[in-house]
Amino acid sequence: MQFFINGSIKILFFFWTAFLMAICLMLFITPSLSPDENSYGHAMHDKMELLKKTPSPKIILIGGSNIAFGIDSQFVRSKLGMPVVNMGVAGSLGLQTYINLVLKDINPGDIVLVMSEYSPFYKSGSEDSFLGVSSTLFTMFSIYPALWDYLNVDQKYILLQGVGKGFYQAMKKKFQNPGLASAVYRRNGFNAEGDLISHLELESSKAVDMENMTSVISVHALQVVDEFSKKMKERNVTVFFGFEPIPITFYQKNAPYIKKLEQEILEYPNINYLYPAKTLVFPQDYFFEPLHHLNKNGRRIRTEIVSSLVKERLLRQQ
Amino acid sequence: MSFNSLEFIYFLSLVLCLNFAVPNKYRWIFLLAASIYFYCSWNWEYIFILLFSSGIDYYAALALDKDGCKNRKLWLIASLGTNVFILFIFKYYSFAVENVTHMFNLFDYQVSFPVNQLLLPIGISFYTFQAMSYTIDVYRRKLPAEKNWLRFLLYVTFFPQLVAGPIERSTHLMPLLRKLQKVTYASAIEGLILILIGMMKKVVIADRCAVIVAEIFKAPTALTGWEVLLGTLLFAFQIYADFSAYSDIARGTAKMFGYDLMINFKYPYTSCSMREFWRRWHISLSTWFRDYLYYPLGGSSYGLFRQCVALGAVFLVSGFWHGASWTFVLWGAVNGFAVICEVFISKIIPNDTWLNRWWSTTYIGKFLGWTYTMTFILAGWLCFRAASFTDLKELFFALSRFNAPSFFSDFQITSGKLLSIGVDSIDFVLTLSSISLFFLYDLWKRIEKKSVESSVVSIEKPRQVMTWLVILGLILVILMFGNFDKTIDFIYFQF
Repeated sequence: MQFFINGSIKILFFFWTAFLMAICLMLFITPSLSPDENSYGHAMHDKMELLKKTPSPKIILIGGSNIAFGIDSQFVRSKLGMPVVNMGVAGSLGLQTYINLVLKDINPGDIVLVMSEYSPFYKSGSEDSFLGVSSTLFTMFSIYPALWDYLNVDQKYILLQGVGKGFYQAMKKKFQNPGLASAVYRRNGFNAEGDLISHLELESSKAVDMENMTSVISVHALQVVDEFSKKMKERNVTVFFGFEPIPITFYQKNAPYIKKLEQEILEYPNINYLYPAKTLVFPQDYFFEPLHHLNKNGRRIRTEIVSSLVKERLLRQQ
Repeated sequence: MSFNSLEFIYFLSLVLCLNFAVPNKYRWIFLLAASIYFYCSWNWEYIFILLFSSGIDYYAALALDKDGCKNRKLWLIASLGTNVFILFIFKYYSFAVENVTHMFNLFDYQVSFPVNQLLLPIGISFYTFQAMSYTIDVYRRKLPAEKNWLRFLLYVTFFPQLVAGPIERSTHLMPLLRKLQKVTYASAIEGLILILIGMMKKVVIADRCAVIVAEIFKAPTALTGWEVLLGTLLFAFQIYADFSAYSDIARGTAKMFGYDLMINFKYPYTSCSMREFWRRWHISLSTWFRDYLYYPLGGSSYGLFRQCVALGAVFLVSGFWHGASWTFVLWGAVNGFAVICEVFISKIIPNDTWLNRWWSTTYIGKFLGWTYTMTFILAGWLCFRAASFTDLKELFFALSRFNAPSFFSDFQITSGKLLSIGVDSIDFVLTLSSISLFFLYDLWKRIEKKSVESSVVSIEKPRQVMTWLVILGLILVILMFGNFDKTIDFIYFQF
């Protein structure tokens, strides 16, 4: 009994204290290691400000870096006659995070275009891409602390798990030669609508293969998107959903999984599926690097296709 | 619930708290419940196989222990046979079918056998061997049979070592489980530090190596000699760090409950001969084979030829134990061949010759011995890691291709294959540094002739502040440098 009171509990108490101290130490130090104010992640500050400032009705684009790199918001604006806010930064922040970020600033009459990567919608590895990758959430939190208020409980728990890796990545960046990254991935590489344009005049470096899909669909992700679409409909907000452009090679390897995923999506009554995946299967030379990002030519073609489809759907709805 | 997961830390914290809240008399029952829960967290259906096989072993041991028991050998065979049969069905059936079918096909006969789609129950190779050692020890009258089936079940399922060892001996663990173990504050702290050291080896060293090794061995036909060497070296440290990490965590966890499990590794990569290596690597398995296969086959008591046959059998069976694949058997054969050669040479060159003295006492002799030993060890690991004989052939052919530009252009750490899997120059340097430090630490402990757990871990008078700074430091290293991208299972889970 004496040991129980003094020994075992003491060890557990001290262990968890040491564990929490380690987490707090890294939480405290990481902001000072954080990249400079012109880093890519700092663009989140601008996008959130843009979201709040842009008057409704507006078009909000949510998704990962595929829309940061791959949409010409000025063209969309000219085609659809509404201002555009491009919220895309990194897919690994999680589609749930983007949904949470924009919820408060969506008003009746707005249009939300969800153009997601495929990864949030199938299970692969130990992390849930829909909720966000732990290290990315932590890194973004260290740059944009207000992110904490937009995360649900699960995501906060995931963020805390990324403290170690986020700290390590922040330390690495201090010692690494930025190279191509700084030419493209920078805050002032974004335009006024939130599109990244710093890569448009650059040549693509060697594109890297995307990780293949799995057959295990994330039902939770589809349910959240369905629920979000339903809630927005009640607020007189139109939500369209589609996937990112993919290279032909990826589509060929993953066609059965993509078809299965699309069949699942069509089961959800509230998800307004804008276009089948095949619509945005592009040749490899439309892409920048990695294969989630479009180059200038690919961006133009994708924007034209998506804008036309949205316009068509809006006309049909009227 | 893997050892390198948050769930395990929560589980251990809860079990530790509740264990000491439970009255002393019932603590072992609580540990049994926790162990069963732990096993069921992997796949609850396979607990029934464990219960069935342990039931057979329990009754067989009781029968063996009865005065005037006739047919003792039959009871022993029944118990061992059940264990081997279960192991065969789950682990070797598909392999046997594949090879028998292939043999028939060579003579143009078509045969078909039922397909086995059962998953390999986790830990089966370990707990069956542990159970078999119990039955054999009772047969040899080394210890009395356990009358309480639940206590015997605890011996088989004790969660710190259930999934991947160390394979405990009944003569060691059963007496410990029969009485309440005293847990001192110092031993609990030692246990915690051992757990953290194990976690560090797993996520900082083993899992970092694993990422690069997997990439290198993905396409054996495209490799050069440098890449094969790098991959083999990294795999050697991956498997050592991975397996010794599991053993450390198992021993540390058991220590926190007052149980001292056996040491499984004693700086194996500092060995200067293959015989020495096998006295330092996976000690629980090698001593199991020594006591239950090598000695019954005669050992060294019946002349050199029989000794070599016994050694050959041990290493071939050991290779087979690791997995149902001829590459594992080849690994066993490579190691067996080296050990047999050493035995042979030791008969030809007696210990008191100048050559033997020079080899074993001078630095040059020891270095040459270490070099030869590491060559055999690495050759063995290459066989162990290869996915098939075809891949192994490609890997050995690759060793003749040492054109430097291929290595530097394909595995350049600022671009190319490693960067495509998320490994940049800093990660690569961290991986190499960590394995270098790991090796140098082992070498230092060996040279200083320190016991496996002296210095940091051994705490006779825990100096609280220093101790907790060490613990904080270990936690920081694990969190900062650990590879948590994907949960990589411990290698020995597949066995």
